Amino acid sequence: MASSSTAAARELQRDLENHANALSKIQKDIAKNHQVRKQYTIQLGENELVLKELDLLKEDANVYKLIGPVLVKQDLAEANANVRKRIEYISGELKRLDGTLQDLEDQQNSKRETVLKLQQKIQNLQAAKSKS
Amino acid sequence: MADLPVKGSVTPLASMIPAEEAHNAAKRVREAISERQKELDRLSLFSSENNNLINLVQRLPDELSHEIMVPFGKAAFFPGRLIHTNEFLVLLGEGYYVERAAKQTVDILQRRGKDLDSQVESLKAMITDLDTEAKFFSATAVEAEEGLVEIREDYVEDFPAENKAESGGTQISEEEYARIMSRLDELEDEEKAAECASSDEETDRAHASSADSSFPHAFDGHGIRASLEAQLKDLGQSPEGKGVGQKQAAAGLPSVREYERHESIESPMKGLVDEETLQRVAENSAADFPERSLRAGSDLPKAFTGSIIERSHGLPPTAPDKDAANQAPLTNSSKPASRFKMRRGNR
Repeated sequence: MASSSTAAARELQRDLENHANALSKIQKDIAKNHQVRKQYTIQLGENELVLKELDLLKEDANVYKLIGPVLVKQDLAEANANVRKRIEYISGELKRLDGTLQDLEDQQNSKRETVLKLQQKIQNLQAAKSKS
Repeated sequence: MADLPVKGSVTPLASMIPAEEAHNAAKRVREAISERQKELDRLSLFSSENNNLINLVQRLPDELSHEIMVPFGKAAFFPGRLIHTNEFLVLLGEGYYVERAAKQTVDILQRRGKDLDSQVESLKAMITDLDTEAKFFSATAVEAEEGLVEIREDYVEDFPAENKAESGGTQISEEEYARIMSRLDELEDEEKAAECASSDEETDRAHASSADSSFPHAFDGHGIRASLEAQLKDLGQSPEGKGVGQKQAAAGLPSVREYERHESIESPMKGLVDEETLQRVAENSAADFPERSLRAGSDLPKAFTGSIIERSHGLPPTAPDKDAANQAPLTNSSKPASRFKMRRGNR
């Protein structure tokens, strides 16, 4: 009887550890996600600024794009289209990140709950053991 | 009446918000503030740099060429000349550069500066917000430590006092209650009649007449004189003062003399009880029954509504002992009833 209960306790302990690890992993993922998101938001702001300035330019203005170490001359229209595309891409990416963030948070919550339940179970078991 | 139901609840603030937690919260908010402060410093640095650059760009095309020291490596310089002083390659961000003249460059820079300024403003607002939050948290912590308590009491409107009187049938028997109510109805009818009589006249005149003649008839003031005089002792100066004022307005000179008498002799006050004071008291006692708006008849013929009810309770001298702290409305309703009972006994 005593040995079976200790075995159960050990099982629970292992379970708890696994879940706790998963939880911390999810939390790490969330933190990473946040960081990426932040970066994207900054880029989005920068791109919007560029677009605003490009819109203000006249047709004959010379626009260059820095590619590696060289400045490559670009057509204004082309540059404009490129920036627009980039903004679109970034907004799409942000939306996607939002979705994954939501998912991760849901996962985190459910994991946290299971961990709490496991902890309670272990506590109950220990209490019962100390009583008997 | 002694076993009044306890209204509301008292909770120590410390039990709801532990001081430690409040301290922690304040600390966290302060950390956030310092973070924002750093950001603000960075932004204002950008802003000042931007301004310097604008100044420089504005000055550059003033001359065709500038004698400058060109940096060469990290530590070396060599003399050189800056030409094409009106041509700029401006970085817009994301690797995009554009060729601009000095003036256009300044425009771009100024737009950027405006953006930075708005960001600085929003950050400042955020910081002030957080600041107040931090102050609130620390204040709460201090209060919790000092043992402040929160007292909560549900607001119960006073005018369903009749219901309470009904429910408080233990104090007043059903029969007595019925008698009281019928008597009150009677009184109200008389009052209304008096009001109708006086309402044809001017408002002032109505006031005077109700004060001088109609009221005692309507209310049968002499019957309650005994009880009212006893109550008069409890009354503060204010109703008397009001009564005097009323009289002055209504009667003019003679009242001034009386007013003087009021002033000079305090103790024989009760002997001097004139119709006004009596009326005042009667009104007050009548107004204790919120439903009975007797005073409206002599005061404001039009206002027969809840506002009067509220006023009757707002008048502190109505019955000073009654207002004593935590007494339930039950007291309010039963007290005048007993007074009327007394009156009935006298007749």
